Amino acid sequence: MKRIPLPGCAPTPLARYLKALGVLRLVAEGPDPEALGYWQGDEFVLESARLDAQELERFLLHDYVPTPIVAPWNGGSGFYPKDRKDGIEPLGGAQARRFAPYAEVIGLGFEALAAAALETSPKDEEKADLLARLRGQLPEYALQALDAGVVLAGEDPRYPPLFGTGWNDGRLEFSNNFMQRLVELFDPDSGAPSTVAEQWLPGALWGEPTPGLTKGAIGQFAPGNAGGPNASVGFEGASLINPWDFVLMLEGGLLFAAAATRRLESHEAAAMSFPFTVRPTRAGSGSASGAEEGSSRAEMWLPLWERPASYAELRGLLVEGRATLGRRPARDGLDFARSVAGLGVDRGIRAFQRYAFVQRSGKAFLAAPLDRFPVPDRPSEVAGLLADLDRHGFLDRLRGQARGKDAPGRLQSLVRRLEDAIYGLARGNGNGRPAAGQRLREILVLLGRLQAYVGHSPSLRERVPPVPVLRSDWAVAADDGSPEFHVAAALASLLQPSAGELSALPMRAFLAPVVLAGNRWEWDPESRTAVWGEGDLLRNLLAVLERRLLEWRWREHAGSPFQAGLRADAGSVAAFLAGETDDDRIAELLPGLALAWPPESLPARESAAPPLPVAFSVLKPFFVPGSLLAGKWLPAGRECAFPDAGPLVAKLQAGALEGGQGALPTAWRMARGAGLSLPETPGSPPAANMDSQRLAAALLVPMNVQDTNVVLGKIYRKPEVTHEHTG
Amino acid sequence: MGEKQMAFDTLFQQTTGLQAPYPYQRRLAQEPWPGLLEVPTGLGKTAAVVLAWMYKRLHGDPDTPRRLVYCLPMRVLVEQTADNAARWAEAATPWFAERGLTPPAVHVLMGGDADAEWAERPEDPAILVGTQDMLLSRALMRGYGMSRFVWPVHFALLHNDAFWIFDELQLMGPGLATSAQLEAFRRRLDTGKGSRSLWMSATLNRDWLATVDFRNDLAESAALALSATDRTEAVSRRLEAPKSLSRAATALTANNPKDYPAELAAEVAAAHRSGKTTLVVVNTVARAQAVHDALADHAPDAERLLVHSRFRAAERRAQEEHLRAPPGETGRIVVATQAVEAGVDVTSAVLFTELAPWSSLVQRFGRCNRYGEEAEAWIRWVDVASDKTVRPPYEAADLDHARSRLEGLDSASPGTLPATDTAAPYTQVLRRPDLLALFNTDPDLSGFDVDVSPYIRDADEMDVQVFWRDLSEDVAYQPEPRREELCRAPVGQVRDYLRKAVKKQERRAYHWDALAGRWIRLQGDPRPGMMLMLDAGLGGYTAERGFDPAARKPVPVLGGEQEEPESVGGDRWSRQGSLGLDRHLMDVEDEALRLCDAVEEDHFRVPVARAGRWHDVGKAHPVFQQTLTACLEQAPSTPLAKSPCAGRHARPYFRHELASALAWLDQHDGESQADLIAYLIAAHHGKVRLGLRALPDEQPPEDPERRYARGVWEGDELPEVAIGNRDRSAPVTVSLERMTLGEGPEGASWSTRTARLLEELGPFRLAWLEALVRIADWRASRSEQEEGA
Repeated sequence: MKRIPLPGCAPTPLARYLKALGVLRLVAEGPDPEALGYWQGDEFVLESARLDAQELERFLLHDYVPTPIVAPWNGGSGFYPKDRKDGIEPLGGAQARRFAPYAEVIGLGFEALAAAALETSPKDEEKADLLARLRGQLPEYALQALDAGVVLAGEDPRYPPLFGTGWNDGRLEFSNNFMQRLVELFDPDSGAPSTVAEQWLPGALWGEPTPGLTKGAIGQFAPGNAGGPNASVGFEGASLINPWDFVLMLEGGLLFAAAATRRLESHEAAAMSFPFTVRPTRAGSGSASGAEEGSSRAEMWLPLWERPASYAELRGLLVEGRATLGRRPARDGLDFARSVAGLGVDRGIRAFQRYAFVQRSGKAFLAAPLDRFPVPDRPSEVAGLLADLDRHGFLDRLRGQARGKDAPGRLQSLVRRLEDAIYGLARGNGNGRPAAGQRLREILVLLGRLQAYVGHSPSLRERVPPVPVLRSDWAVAADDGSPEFHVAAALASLLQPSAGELSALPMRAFLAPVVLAGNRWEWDPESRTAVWGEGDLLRNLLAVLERRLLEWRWREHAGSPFQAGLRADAGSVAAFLAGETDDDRIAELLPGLALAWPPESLPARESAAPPLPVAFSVLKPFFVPGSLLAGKWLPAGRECAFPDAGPLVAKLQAGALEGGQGALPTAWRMARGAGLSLPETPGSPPAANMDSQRLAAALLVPMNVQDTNVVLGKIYRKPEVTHEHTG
Repeated sequence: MGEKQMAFDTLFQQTTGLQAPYPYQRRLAQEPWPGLLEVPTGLGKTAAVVLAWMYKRLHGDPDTPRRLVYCLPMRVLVEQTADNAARWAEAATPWFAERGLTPPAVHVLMGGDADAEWAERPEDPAILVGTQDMLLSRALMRGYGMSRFVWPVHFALLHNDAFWIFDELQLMGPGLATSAQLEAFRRRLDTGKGSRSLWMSATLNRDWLATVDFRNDLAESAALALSATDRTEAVSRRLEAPKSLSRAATALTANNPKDYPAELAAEVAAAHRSGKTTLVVVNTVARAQAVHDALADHAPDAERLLVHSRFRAAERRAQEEHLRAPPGETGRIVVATQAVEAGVDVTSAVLFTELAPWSSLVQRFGRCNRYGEEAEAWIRWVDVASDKTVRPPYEAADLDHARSRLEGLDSASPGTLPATDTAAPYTQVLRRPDLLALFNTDPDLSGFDVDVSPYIRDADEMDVQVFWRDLSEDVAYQPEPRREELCRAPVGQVRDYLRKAVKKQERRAYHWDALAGRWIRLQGDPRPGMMLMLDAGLGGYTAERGFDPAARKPVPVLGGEQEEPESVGGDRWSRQGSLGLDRHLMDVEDEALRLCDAVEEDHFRVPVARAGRWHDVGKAHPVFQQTLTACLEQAPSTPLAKSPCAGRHARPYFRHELASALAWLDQHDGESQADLIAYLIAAHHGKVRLGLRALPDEQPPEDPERRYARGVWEGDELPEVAIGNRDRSAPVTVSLERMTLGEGPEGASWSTRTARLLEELGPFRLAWLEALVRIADWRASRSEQEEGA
């Protein structure tokens, strides 16, 4: 095997990527079907048992048979009277053997036009008929070029983005240009390469400086040439190009035709599917603004692989490149980002170079390189969590709304940020990119906001369902060990459906106008529990607390308003009570975390918070489920009639903590009455000086059983009589 | 009269019960097969072909393939043809028995499990009758109404040892070009067993078949047409039956669609002759229904009949019987659509027809004074404007062309009619790369496939089959529909039907979920080829008018014996006693050898048998054995192939055949035909074929470095498997290296290997070998089960 590195080929700009495939394709269809190619760093390497670098040059100069690319349906294609003829005429009558296929296909093109009695380029039905005729009549070796330019899906022609609208992009007619370049390179009758062809070839293959370039357009493939910001990256000098670059680029682009397929079935509009090509997305594109999504027609993901692969195999890969996501097709870059990981891993693809086809100047599109998407070693399980968002078509519908013409700016911006975060998650971490946990927290926060936003818009509610229930792994994977997270997660789990059972008063229904119907959430515009609003955390938590107690009373005290799926440690609660936590952060995380099932537990965290004050201990029994007191702090049977925390909350709300009518003395009295054992001394609750509203909010935070017992033990005594071991 | 001729005449007369055959029918049986048969309608083409085929099979003609595949454009024709063929095959049984041959069985391909039986007996002669939808979709590896995993088997059997008959070509649309292209590819790409095609039509324009790849073959194809000696009295009476032709007073224009049915009905009523049949052919079902309704006012005494393709088979059968009986004293008026153009054996004294493409008109004219039974007969053609509101389903150009031809004619006797010269309609043509792409059936997780419908039928003619049941009690476990219940309906109309609520009740459609084994609600729009169950309470059909989305009255449900449908690939063979793996492997190998002998597959006998021997080695995988032994009290000492235990594998999507193929390659890579055998092993359930990929919802192993696909993980240990005294698979540590793109330490990747095989053997032969292994497995499993039971 001879190893032939091609420094003239690179993943960017697109022209150079396609050129690499062009060389591989021509060699494989010509002298060495077993030739292999792969990417090494940013360089393409050809491996061949039959050719070395010199023989490769020789092959291209003397033996290469150009693939006939014609587009008789285009004005400007050379087939109509007013068109430029300096390519098509010499080739149409070419005597050289290497041009025989081209001459034949040009002849057939004219025949087809004559048969259809067309004197100007056809439109609509006439065009579709001509395309069907050509697709049905041209020799097999010309089909690839046809399929790369246009696909007939049903009655309508559809255009893969690579070559404009059927080999035509703005004022650039690719097929005619291709023929002109060929005539520059070779003598049509003898087939011999021109002297300049010999001079130019090393530039195209090895990236060596080229003496004097020719005038011509390379179009969307090398935006640099159009004078854009990348002018220095790709080809040098505006609209001066090496004809070999143009020729090899088109030859390589044909590879993408091999897999141009139509999709079956009718639940979506008849679609064309083109390898690794999806609808454009804004996500992850960095500089591209939202407005560009509208003007960009597609996004391509070009595979970069590192193991020597044959042309045949590459074709197979492109056939498979119809991206699928779960059981539905991937339609845009975001879907694709989520699904390529699997394909890449299976197939040994290391990365994808993303391109967007953006309309920048007039009608012409530019292939703007976006980022390079490294394929993770395997589909990340964290990324797998995103599948939850596809349930009930949630993500699709949400994104569809945000793309709508009249979508509110706030919705657009929230969805855009969500897309970016999802894209970032799918892309994986490394190279200083945020870790998955951080991405997940971002996503949760955004989902919480979106839920509230959509929930308050009657028109959006009709079109977007509530966020589907997320798996408990979300909370586990997003956990950053902070007290804010643990407090928010515990609050979020308040009377959450736990262990697969759904029960009343789930926290989520207090945060947004939703209601559980069966096992899924639906909008409930009439919700009286959705008391959460803009504004500070404490006010909101107190509103929730009061509303929960009220609802509990309406339910005749069935269950407990303090049941929870997940309980925080005392340290987190203490940090919150001490005001050491970032309240805004808690307020941000809570609505997102309430969307997920609570996990059984979160990893224990180290805490440096001050111990909880005694006042907290005095009040806490009124803010735990009765079951927690039964047997341990209360004589058996007394927990059922345990008093309602309502009066205490009212006092805390009003700031009355101490003094005769304060919350503490009241609690002291109520505790005695309820059967809790209080110490002889002190005979009254200790003095406390603190923010009573914050205290109330802290009491609402579910706390784990062990820590709760420790806290209660600071004040209360265990009942002496009933002992479990007596029997 | 030679002995051979006598033999054919006797066979013909005894099996069909008809008179002596026409000379052309004899020639067809005694000369080499032509490529084209150009015989006017009504002269016994079907009998000619079926009997000639039987005759040649009886005489062991090597150019007469085992399977006669009779492809028709419409469902109505399928039933008639199948009924006739079945009768003839039955009558011919003694002839075959006498020679020690298996008599042919007749199967109707209609989707569902009902037509699966024939595919298990590739060595038996069979007559397969089906619509172009059913047959061509199978020939394109995308069989409608069947499990996708069985596609390769049907594909194989329809391209190998198959004799395709295409009848009523003028109605086939894009299917015609596809039929020609497929024939060209079979000749070019090599088949395991020879196949051929025969196109038959009264109005054949050879150019229609001159597709890019078949053009040259066509030029060399012989055509069989009527000769002078064929023009016996009976034939010439038909050919010269008088039919005077004139333009009707009524015309359909863009301005009168509302009044048109009544106007036409009045003119028809005036022309109708008592005691005779008047036939009115219109271009759409809706107009047929309207004209039929209007005739109730204008010709209240005459017997009225409506014929179109949107009837249930039960009602249609009743109509046909009706049509066969002579009309009563008041005569009969039949209103029909183009359904009457083909096959329906009806004649009339007066014919009204709407303007239609020339080839259709010729067919319609044939339904007037068909047998020359009338001394006088009239045809009136109704002009149809080329305006796009009224011309569908036809194109303006075709109508203009036909109109200009009609204007110069005053007689429509077959003898005087000019030949068809309409150009072939422009349709999408199947090319070789398209066919090769279709060979790949890899599980399509998104429900998307390469669309084959443009190669089969015009988009606006796409049909589904519907039937009605009383769904008030039970939906999920309704029995499978019987043929009588099924009604064809256009996809678009069924979609509209479903969108209209009746009495505030949403109309719903249900389709059979073969995996779940029950009827489930259709989500989204219906797709061509589907079979849908509808709620009889919500209307949509009347016995008089057929499918009618606007009808709201409950549909009468057809009673009768019903069977619960089987789930596809269900556990047909799994409920049985335990069976050792080695025993099963040897059984399948033995069966594969017998099968190769029976179908005379000599060249690839060894790889097919070897694939049979190794096909289930992967069942020794611990995941599979765990499932098989979960319910057994005592785990057996050697691996099992089958057991009574039912349950899911610990790894979802686990495919034992992948493990088998990897184990094989691990021990035989580099040997001759090792890749072919590996492919045949992997493909033996139709689930692991050209590509090797993990599925998206697969459970990955914990170690991120481990590759995995289809529940098989890199590094899994496969124990030793002894295959009796014949062979042995050594213990294997599974490597999935080959799923990666490019050359690796273990040589070429799986996809490179399969791409090479496809290139070398071609799709037809590769599928053929694939089918043989699978059929051997089915048959061995069946007999094992029967023994065990």
